[in-house]
Amino acid sequence: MQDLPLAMGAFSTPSRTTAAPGHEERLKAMVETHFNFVWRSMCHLGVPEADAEDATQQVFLIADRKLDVIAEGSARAFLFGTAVRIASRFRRSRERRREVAVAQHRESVDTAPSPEELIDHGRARVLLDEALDAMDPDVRAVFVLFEIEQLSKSEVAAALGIPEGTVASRVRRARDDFRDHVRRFQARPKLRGGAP
Amino acid sequence: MSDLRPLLEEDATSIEADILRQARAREPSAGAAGRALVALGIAGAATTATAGAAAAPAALLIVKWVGVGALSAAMLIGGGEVARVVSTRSSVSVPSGHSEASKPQPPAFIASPAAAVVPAPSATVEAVEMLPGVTEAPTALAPRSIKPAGRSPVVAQGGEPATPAVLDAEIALLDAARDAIAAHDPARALRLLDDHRQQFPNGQLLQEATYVRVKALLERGSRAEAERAARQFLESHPESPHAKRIRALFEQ
Repeated sequence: MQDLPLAMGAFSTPSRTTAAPGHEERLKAMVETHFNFVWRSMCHLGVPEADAEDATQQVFLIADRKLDVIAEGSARAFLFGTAVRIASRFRRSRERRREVAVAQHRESVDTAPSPEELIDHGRARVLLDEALDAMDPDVRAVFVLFEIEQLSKSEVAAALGIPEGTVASRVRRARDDFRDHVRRFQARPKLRGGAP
Repeated sequence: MSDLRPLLEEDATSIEADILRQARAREPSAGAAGRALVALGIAGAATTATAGAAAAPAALLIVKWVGVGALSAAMLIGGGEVARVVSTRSSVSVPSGHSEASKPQPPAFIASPAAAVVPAPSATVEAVEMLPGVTEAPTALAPRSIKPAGRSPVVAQGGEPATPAVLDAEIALLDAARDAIAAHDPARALRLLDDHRQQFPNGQLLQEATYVRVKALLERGSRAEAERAARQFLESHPESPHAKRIRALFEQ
């Protein structure tokens, strides 16, 4: 197969050779350091796991474009902020497919594990996703960073561009929502055994 | 609440703690970060920083976005929609569903070493021209469990923006095809793509459909056919954002 003009680098956009010194190395380090964090955040922000990798790649593509304005030490803040926006866009898209989403939700409820199964089979994710989906997006983001990723209050504040006091109040709300959801789950009758 | 600490360090119940620990332990599939590096065109770049969580900064600073532009401002300062340039951008992501085990060698039109010639995605990620009139997420971020639309042909008028319903139908078919690939059923994916081509001969997502078709052909093991489709696409759409995605399929 003969080479194509495209394959020979005839792009209309600048190639990597025009990137600022150290750009690639910094970007690569950013990917290696934060990829799992961003991917996990995508999942916890409502992007299905099957799409989380694509969504995470989009975050880093944007980071590539904005690398020169990302201050040293603020990569994680930038990446999470970007992840929030992309996940939000995804959720809006998903909302357009409400009918399917409802069907999926029904299916997830029908197959929800019992508390015992939750521990035994590592299916806690189902419950967590339900709890997260029930939260307001702003509260959800705080919960993901503070309770799951275990960032400090000041780190969360910086990542989301909100005061620390707001972080604290949202943590309380998120925690209440989460615990309520877990309690409601524990109070559910068992659904397994074939009965609807 | 100056002593605010994570629930795991306070009074989490056993089930709460289990949920949070499992959430923290969630990880992407093997090679995901590497695929991102390929998509970024830096798979071969030297790394100067230590990888891993330990390298993460202890403190985060608020980035000053003055002068950066609407895109970054919309993304980080919060509130409101992401700038349209982002909301209509198509992914140039390297697909995750392709089997690592059956990794083929890049064809002739993919220069080697591959990653070194993948251009910066900075401008090529723009795909606004591919989705005229669309403000929703591109297919790369769309849910993938939508059932295919009805089979009656729906032909978009050339040069006119597709209606949301038509675009949804296109997206649904392509999502279903991607689902089939993920389920290692390339034959079904190709049937769905044939349906797409038949129903939307002037569709808005023909380039995306070609990308998915190449991916399906590779999944089926029809490498020569995949290369033919890829070459035809690259010849006719050399500056499409999908060109890079298609080339990346052969670089894995």
